[in-house]
Amino acid sequence: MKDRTMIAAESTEREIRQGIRLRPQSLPLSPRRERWLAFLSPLFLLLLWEIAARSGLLNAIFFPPPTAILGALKRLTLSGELPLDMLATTRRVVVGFVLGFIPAAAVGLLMGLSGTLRAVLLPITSLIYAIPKIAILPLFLVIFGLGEQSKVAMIVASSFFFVLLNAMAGVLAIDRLHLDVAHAFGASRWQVIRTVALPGALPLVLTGARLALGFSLIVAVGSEFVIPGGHGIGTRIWLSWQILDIEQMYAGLIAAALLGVLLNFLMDEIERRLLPYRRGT
Amino acid sequence: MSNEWVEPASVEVVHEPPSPPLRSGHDPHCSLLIAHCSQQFGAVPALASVNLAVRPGEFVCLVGPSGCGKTSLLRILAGLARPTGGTAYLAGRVATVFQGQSLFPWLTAVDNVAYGLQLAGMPTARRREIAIEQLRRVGLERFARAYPHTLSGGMQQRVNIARALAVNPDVLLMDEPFGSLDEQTRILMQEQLVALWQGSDTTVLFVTHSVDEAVAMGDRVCVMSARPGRIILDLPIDLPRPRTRYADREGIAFRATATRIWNVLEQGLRTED
Ligand SMILES: Nc1ncnc2c1ncn2[C@@H]1O[C@H](COP(=O)(O)OP(=O)(O)O)[C@@H](O)[C@H]1O
Ligand SMILES: [Mg+2]
Repeated sequence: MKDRTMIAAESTEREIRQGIRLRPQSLPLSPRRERWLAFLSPLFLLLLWEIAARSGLLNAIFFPPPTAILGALKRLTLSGELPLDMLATTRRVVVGFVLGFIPAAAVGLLMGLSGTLRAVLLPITSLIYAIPKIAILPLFLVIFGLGEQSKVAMIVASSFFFVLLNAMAGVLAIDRLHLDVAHAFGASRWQVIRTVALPGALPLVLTGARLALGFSLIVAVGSEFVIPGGHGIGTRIWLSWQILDIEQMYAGLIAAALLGVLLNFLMDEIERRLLPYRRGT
Repeated sequence: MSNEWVEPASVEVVHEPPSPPLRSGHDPHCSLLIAHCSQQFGAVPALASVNLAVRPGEFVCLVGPSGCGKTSLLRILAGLARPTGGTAYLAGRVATVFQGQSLFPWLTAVDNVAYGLQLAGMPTARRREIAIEQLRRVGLERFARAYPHTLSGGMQQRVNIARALAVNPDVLLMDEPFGSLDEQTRILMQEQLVALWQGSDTTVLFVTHSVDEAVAMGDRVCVMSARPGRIILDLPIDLPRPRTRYADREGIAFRATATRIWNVLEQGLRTED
């Protein structure tokens, strides 16, 4: 039941991602023109925003003119504060993700391979998976204290279940025919795992990793809001709220967006390398 | 000894063929032996006492309607399923060409072909060398590094056959390998397969639901009844080879043989209902 939900979530996500790249059938544009439009339309919007903010049409307290935000961005970058924030958040996301991914992939694959293990662990994991991860934060604060450990633990927890359930679904989604081929060629149990189960499950494992990374960033910023101390994009945004420095807040938002894009790009690159046969499909 | 064999010339409908005693070890007269084999899936009987003996180097085609248990029989021979009754015996190394898309999508053509050798522990360089040679035999060495989804259906099936041949099998089991191909490709592939087989001493059990395909390729054609499957005709094909091309199939002798098989097939379908 749960694994089907995960597969559905995966395919929906894939469709959305492809949908972004696909050109609408009814409006065939040349790639060149499309690139120009993609470049010009945000610029045009920013220009409108600038004019509206400067003329008082938009409340500049909530929506400061883009040039002012750019100024804050430049100031914070040159002072080294924003790069440090981005670095700190990235470090947390990567460390937490890796700590969550490794055991989750292992247990998830085993759950896909063993019906017994699945029967034992699936109900409990499905239950914990259903908890919105941010709700665990107070518990972690009690366990790990108000510091770095809690922030990383949050990311580990939110990565773990995405990867676990997708890894399990990945094994279960393997074409029976491919398992038959392995057995017919005389593969041992370990050879079946190594030559069919692992490569067959890999696409969904990576989908789990992609979801996990996305949620890790959300949870990282959320934890940084609540847990004081250290650098972090969340800390920066929260601070700007407290001192009502809206321009700095926007700079923080831009940094968060940039990090999201970077993580997505990283996943694209990993998928391109690990799933070369999927290229162009 | 040879009298223990089903003598198809005299026996048309084989109800209770002389069943040769099962022997352990290698029997030089017998490459593949199925005795009173039955298969039951819950309440569904898929196979009912199938008897079949195949000589080394023989090309036997098995024809039968969809769902009569052809795949079930091959799965038993390939060691993937246990029969609920009777025995199946196979001499030497077996390789299977499965029905459907059975190439591993994550492996290139050459690594798909080398799969059986990889499992046997052969070093990468050596097994790729053999795999390339096999691909060359099916005319696909240029596509060694291509992934299956980039190949056409006919090319994929040739890679599939090369994968089976790469382990140098004594017995080759093929489950409707050309079922999904268009007519032209299909005839071409039949010709190539017969040529590959003639250049080897491999025994072939070729499952198909096409009567023409069976007559065009087989030394013998065995017909299965509708479910539960039994062998209701075991017919030697004495027509001269090659007989895979379209023109070959238009000959009177070819058509007479095909018609005879068709009649038995229809009978087999009727008795079921
Ligand atoms: N694993 C299985 N469980 C239950 N029924 C099966 C199974 N495999 C095959 N069958 C049934 O056995 C019959 C024979 O199937 P199959 O051997 O695939 O036929 P064919 O290959 O001749 O089309 C079919 O009715 C099919 O539904
Ligand atoms: Mg079948």
